[in-house]
Amino acid sequence: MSPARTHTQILAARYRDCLFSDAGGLLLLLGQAPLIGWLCSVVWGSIERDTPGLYFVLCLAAVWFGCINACREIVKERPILERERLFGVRPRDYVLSKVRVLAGVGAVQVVLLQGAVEWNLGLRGPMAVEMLALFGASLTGTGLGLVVSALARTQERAVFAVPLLLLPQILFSELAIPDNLYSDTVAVVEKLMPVHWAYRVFEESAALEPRWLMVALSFAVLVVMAAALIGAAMLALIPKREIVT
Amino acid sequence: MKKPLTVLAAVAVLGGGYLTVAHVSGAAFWTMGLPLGGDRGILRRISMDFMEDIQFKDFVSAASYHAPELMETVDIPFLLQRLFQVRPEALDVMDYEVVLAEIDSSGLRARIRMRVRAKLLLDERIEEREFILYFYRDSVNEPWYMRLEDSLRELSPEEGMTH
Repeated sequence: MSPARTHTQILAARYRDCLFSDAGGLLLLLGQAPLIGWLCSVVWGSIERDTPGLYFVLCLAAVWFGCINACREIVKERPILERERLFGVRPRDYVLSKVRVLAGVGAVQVVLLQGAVEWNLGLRGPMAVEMLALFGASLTGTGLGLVVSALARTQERAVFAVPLLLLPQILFSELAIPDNLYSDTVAVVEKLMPVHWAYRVFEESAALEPRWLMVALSFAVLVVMAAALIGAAMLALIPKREIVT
Repeated sequence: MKKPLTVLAAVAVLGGGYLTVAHVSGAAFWTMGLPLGGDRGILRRISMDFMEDIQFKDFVSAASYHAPELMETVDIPFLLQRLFQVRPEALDVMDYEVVLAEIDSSGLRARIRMRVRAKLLLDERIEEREFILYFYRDSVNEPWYMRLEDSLRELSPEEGMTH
């Protein structure tokens, strides 16, 4: 087993233990997903059908969960990370250990979110595909949150940054104005939004004749976005000046 | 030895938890073929079986979900024609699902909202329709019967009115 892998595993195990030791916090983290799902089913239950608006809210919620889960996780341990760096822990191993655990939390949240909606209201399209899209959105949100956490100096600033990252997801979407009215700039910026690609999966899989190639492309974009953001978080943790002992 | 046991226990707990959720939700989730979900589960299964009969144009079997005294009078092809505006032979039911299952406070009446996706073979167009199947029973120990007689009863020449 390579030392990097060992580091990642040890750090992930420690992070997981910390997370499980705070049962109340974990419950709150996981509990928000079925709550949002239930609220969605109450709202859309009144018309007894799913609409594109519901898909958008689910995708936005998934990105939100990922982002809020991750946004404090590096900045709150900054002194520990700095100390452990002296003992050979690399930013890559550290960030990957966070991703491993947060991806698991995100997966549970996504299952609870969609499960709470489907409990009352059957959505169009295959549930597994949609759940995977929500997981992709959640993972991208986790990457976004880790970048914020790696760049922020305090936990408060990291939390304040989250709405600033999520609001554009709404602004640059079909929910704000119909896509045929987009300017070229808006059309380009929309494609940088993770919610857009998760929403495309929902939209396509719910269509009368789904274009599965487009679904695959949307998944690929979500994976690339998540990988790029996780990479950016690693880069942000590389020290500007190495400490020489 | 400890690790496989832990994995086995985790799988058992997760599987049991999933089946419990599937049961409590009224079979809103896949029940792996198990008869779970209580009355709502039964109604979902009846509705899906009904749609399967329609998919394979077995209208006699589709009528069997109605009360015995009404079986002779229900006209399933007429329902399809009214729903999709084409004759049943020109209709290919591709996909169907339960959107919502609801039982009233007495436990004697129920409605199942269905979503059907079908290809209209004459012009190769795919269309989606939603409709509600109504069910009733005389007491909680009786079986559920579909109540489509009002909309599906074959019109007699005397009643020959347009729908």
